[in-house]
Amino acid sequence: MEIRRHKDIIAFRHTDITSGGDAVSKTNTDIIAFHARNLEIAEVSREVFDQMSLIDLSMGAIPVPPELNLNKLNLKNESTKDLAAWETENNPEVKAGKLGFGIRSVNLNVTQICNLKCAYCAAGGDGTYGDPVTRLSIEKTLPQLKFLIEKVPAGKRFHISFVGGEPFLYPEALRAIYHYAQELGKSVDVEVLYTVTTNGTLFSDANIEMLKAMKFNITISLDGAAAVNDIVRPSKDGRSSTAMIVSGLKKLNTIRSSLSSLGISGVFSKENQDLLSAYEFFQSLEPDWMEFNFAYDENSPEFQKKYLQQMDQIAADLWETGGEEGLRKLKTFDLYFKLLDNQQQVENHCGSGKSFLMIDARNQMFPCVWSPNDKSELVGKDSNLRPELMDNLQKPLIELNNCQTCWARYLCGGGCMYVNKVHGKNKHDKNLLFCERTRHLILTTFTYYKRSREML
Amino acid sequence: MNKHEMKNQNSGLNSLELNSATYEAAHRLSVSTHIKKVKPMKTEGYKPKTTGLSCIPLGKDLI
Repeated sequence: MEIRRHKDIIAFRHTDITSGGDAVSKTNTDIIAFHARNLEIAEVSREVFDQMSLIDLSMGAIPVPPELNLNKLNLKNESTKDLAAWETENNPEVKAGKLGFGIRSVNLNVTQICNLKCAYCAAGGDGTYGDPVTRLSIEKTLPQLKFLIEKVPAGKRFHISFVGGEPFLYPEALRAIYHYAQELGKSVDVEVLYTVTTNGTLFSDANIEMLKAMKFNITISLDGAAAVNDIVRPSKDGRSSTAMIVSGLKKLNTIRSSLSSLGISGVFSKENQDLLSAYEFFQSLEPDWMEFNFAYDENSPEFQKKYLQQMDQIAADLWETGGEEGLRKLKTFDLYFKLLDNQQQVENHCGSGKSFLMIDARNQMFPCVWSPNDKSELVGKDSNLRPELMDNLQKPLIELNNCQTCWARYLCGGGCMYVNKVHGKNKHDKNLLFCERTRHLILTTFTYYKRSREML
Repeated sequence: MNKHEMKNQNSGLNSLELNSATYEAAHRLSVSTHIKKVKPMKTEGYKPKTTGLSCIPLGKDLI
């Protein structure tokens, strides 16, 4: 792929992003350009493209091409003037991504125990975060939620995401919290949204009956068909976790219209490289959306190359079979489409320290899902939240992580601090593999975005 | 960047010059044969689905 850049505009020829089987796509040589500040996509001419400097996906800095000197260039050249005009233009439709402090989303750890023992578990390998807590205290959690929800401006939304361990090991908490938050939300004119991230093995008749009355988004963690999933996500009792999920999904599908959405989220690494087989299996389960996560602790450039090739193939297949709607079943592409359509800048990859809290099963509060049991990250407990402990996270992440010159900054939002911390010196030390991966997926998005939208 | 911040990007130009320069740029681009913009599909009242772990980019209007 040939990529070029002129200040805040990048452009690329996308002949290589195809499914491999479409002769028409292979000969398509449109040059697609993107204006980083204005979040605009355009088709540009070869003359414009040739004036820009060659870059690659590893480069975040703006290249300084000695030849692109407006004093030396023939200013009568229309393409030169057009490129300069576009670069300096400011789009009044663009919405700034400024995010101030105000908690609008929480992950609530219902249980710090699990019936599986996934190799890469975010919660310490066994759901416990190193400190098993069988269930949260409903009596302590409700006042904590009241404290947070009552601070949300009327007319806005608040998101509760139930996580674990495995949340369905304590369904009584889901029910109690749901009903309480619904009543509270109505009383203060705040719409509360709910998600539960589950291993999918505990969709009993009783749990299905409970879910019928709740408009939940359900995320099932699943890494592929049984041959893979049973190995990377084994159950503690030796049964096939995949078989339990498939059986549970059949029951869940009987109340599908009661759910807000049903998605599948898989994790991939050198230990689980086969995205294409996983994709085929996920499709057979007919989810509303899918996610193919690059494992947070994975840092292999060789695996990343395979990962991105497969992501491109999956994108091409979804496009060919379902057009834009099909493609947007992949959460990554759906998000970027939304941002481009709404010309919404993102200055923060996540709400850590600003709009998001992780609450563990002891009602301790942390700024990140990976933080529980790290006392240095504790920012509060019960209804005692200490915003001053998050002062160091109040600047935009694109500034904290030094992303100001990256062309992808307003779509990426500065990257993941946890990935930075795992692979670098600290949480603001950018992981360049993450940067390259994100830029690649964004370019893939641009290709399909241009195909799906009309020209001005 | 919104229109109120444009002046910071064009130092030395006063408001009238700025608006004139912006108008010229916009007109040039509207008739350019070298740069053809894609039309975004605005979604009025659109509320995105919230999913999974909350490690998602959060623009001001996406919550």
